[in-house]
Amino acid sequence: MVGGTGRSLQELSAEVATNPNSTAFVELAAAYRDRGDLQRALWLCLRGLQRHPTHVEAHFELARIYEERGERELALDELGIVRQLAPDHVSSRLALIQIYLEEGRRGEAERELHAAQELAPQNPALGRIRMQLKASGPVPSGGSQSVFDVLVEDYPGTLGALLLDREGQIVAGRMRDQQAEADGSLAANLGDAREEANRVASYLQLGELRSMVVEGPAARITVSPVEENAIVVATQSDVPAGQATRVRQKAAKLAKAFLGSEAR
Amino acid sequence: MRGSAFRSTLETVMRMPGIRGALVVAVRDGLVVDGRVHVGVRGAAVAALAASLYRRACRATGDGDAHRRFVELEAEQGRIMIAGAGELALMAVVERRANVGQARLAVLRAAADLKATEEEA
Repeated sequence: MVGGTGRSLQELSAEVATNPNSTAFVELAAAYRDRGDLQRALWLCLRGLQRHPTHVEAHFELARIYEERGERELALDELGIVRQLAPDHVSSRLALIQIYLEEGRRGEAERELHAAQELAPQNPALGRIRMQLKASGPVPSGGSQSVFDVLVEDYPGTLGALLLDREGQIVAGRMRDQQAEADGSLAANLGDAREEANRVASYLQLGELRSMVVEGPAARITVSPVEENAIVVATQSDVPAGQATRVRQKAAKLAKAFLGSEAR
Repeated sequence: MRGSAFRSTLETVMRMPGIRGALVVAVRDGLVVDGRVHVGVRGAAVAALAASLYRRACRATGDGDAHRRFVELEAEQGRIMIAGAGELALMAVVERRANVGQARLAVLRAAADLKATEEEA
């Protein structure tokens, strides 16, 4: 017996096979996911959602499948759809919080936790999550995760910004659609590159380094100093260079304001 | 450093006003393959460092080494531009007075020429 209705895999398979409009595909997909057959579970969910695009539990199940496949951004997309379709869906809120916590996105985890507490204050899982948040320390003042989010909102094509300290450690910010680990790797590579860039400028007697721009097929990354730190700004490569410069200037202002508030 | 397959490419870049040096550098080890520099420019001395910087930049932007990359350092007294796609990169030392847009285009075109020459060879 499997799933919420206690029907067997054979019964669920038979229903899905004989009645394409049935919503039993969600339970069947969950059963396959439990057995570790993520490929079949994914196929069932995607096919079922073609007929039932607003089926909340189907989107939630798809999010769980993606999460188990390690595709967190896709899982977050599906959980976002669940949140839009059913704002009071507590399980999806808990799943969101868990992913945010695992990715180190504490500000967003806290916001979801507040929403979940209002929806289901007695839910025992919330206590455990509060403990997890508490154990990982306070959210930095001003919300370091969101210090540069305004750039992404105001300037289309902006992928995010990171404020790095002298050691190349991330002080604030994040890149959109990227996991915390990838941000750390980017910061480390750019931190080392910045040191080499300074040496190149020095050897060629070009004076103090003002900025470094790296353009690849998908993104343009700019690194420029802010006091003793550095601000890294990424935009899509098709964003005009002039607009990228404005994003960089705005990011530097935000970084200075953030550092000023930290100092106080 | 004369008569290489890159002579024409380097001369085209050097004709741009404000370009003080242009070097073809092997990305893997930073060795200078060919180059033209004005007197006093220590281009060859920084080629290895520039190549290392370029490799790091490639890692930071991902997507493998075969894609086109462009790195620009802006300093008080001038700029360094490095562009490549593959095993070779073109590094240019640019004066502060130079037209940045034109210099950038010249370096990118030269990098595309390098890639074509590399493929022909």
